[in-house]
Amino acid sequence: MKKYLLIFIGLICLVIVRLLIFKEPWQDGDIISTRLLVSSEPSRKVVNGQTYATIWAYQNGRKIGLRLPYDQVVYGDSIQVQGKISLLQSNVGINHSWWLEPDTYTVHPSQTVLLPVSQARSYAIRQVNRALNPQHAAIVNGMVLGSKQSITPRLDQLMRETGTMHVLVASGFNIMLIVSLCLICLSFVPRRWSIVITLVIVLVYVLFVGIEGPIVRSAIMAGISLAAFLLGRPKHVLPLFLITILSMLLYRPIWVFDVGWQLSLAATAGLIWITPILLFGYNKIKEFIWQKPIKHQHLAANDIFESFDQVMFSTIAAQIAVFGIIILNFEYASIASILSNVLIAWLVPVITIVGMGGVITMWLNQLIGSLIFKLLVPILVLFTNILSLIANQNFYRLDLQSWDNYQVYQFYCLLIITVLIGHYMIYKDSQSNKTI
Amino acid sequence: MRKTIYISIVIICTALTVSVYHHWQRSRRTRLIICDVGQGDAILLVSHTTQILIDAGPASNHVSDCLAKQLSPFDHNLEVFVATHADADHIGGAQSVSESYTIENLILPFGGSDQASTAYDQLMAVSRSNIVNHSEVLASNDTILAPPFEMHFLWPSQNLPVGLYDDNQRSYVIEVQYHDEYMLFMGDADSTVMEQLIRSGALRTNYNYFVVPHHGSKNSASATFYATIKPMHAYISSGQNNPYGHPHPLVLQLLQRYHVPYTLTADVGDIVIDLDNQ
Repeated sequence: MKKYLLIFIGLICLVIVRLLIFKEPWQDGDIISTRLLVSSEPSRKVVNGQTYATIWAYQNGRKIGLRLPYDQVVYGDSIQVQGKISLLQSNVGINHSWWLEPDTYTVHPSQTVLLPVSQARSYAIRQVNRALNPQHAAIVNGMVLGSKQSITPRLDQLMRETGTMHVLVASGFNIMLIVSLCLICLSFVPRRWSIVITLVIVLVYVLFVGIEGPIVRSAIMAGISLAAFLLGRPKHVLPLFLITILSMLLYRPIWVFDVGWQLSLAATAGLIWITPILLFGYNKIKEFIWQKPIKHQHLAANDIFESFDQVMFSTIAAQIAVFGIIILNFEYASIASILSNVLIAWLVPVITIVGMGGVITMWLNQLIGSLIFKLLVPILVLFTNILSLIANQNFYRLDLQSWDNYQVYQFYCLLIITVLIGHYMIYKDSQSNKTI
Repeated sequence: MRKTIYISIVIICTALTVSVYHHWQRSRRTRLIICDVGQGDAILLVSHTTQILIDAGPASNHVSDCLAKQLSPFDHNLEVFVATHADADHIGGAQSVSESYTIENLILPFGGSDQASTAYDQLMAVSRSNIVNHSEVLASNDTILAPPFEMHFLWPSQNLPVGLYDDNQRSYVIEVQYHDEYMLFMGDADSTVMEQLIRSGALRTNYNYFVVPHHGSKNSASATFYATIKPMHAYISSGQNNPYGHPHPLVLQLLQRYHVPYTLTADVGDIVIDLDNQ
């Protein structure tokens, strides 16, 4: 633990230094000339009948957005661009990204490893589009490949209304799945080699889906876990979680202000620390109702997908954890989002696993791959039906515009205190069980 | 625990069965669907495995939602896709349609496009791709048989001088027959076309379903035309708060004067008419 403590202190110091030397390189309204790498899939937007690609690129830790004609740029390209740059302000008044209005630009096709990766990704998306109807294809492309280019307007609205947009990204679950599958498939190989191969496959997958916050964080987490396993060290969730956050902040301090990053971080923290408390409370209520002791479930974060109860409570835990950030940035909260997330939580892993199987099989045999996707159709029909059903109900939408930053901070302080008390109670309970 | 698993499996299977049965039941019915694609046109005719699309709406991809919702998730084949004319609000969605559906017969706009446009270029690229089995340009007196539907092309005539008629005026006017029911779709045709159609005697004196041309623009407000075709129901496909002010009050007044009930996609979303239930 002492070593972890030293690493924390070192990383915290480095992050503080990084934040202190982090100064904006441009003034609002400057004309700049720069070269940007399209490091994730551009999003599609129709403006006045013309289809544009919105690209977010990073340069020296700064996030720069720009818009170009959709069919001219793909993931992996680099853009030599000159234009006027202006500072964007988020809902909470923090300047964290820039917007570039291009006057002149040249798109250079990728000359790196990203070219075959980008081509393979486009091929996979095309195959999924051909095998499934547009809405279903958009869901599979989102969950398996992290692609939002084929998302349809109504599906987009449906997912926003039901607060389920976050499932249409390649996330930690995908990484967890790949790591598990690789370790199982490579069980005949010496452990050291199987871990190295797994790490390489995880890296290729990250490149395949695009270098974005949630997937990079999960990949770093998986990498550190595997490295710890390789070195024969025990796995500690809290230190790993903190090392991940600090490593990412060291790499791109600007992520502190990125709402997407904050949401994924809060959701992960909720999964790890709030889920066990909810399950503990649930078991206590069951004990109270049935007046007999319930066998305590193993409450490790790795086992959260083991039972329906755990899936349900982990979803609620994530919702609780992101509540404050949502209020701060979007000024409302919907009961529908909790219900819809609980109801679709068990469908997401099924769609991701079968979808991933379909994409891999497509490379080997298109017909079999297509058949695998057809197997998914009933699940996808159910998925969209559940969301439509919830969206059509007029669920009470909590309007929380009056909440200010101070109240949100109070909410998180209260939540942290509750979590600490909860974990203390779990600890006391386990101690008393041991004594009995 | 085991009991919970069994109950969960039963609930999942029931939900899956209900979902698939619901889709299957709906895809068995013969339907006319006026898709809500915002400001634009996309009309679907569906009967069992026959799927016909007339126009694909704008590039905003709304047509994909309509196809996903209304067509069987297992059938990715459009028997006929008609691009009535080259306007972006009618053919802009063609590319997104082609990403998920193969097209047996693609009917391209008569006389091409008056001006260079991305939407038209994309449509032509789709027509050359391997997802289209056959593409052609049709004219009046041509008929497509896509059982149980018969599509009679009433306009434009083969010898129409392309330079004298703009994109809108060259829109295909299509009469679709389903048993003893008749439907009329006119793209963005205006009152000049309406007058010529009346003079040619190509129109019937009664239509069950009529999609008001050019989203209810005042250019399509012809009292003689409505008096001639006497539609039983009219449908207007226009976007909410669109900048063109469609549908024009003059068109709505005409519909009221001739006692034609009308429905707007902007008010109700996709309009689904069960042709077997009428």
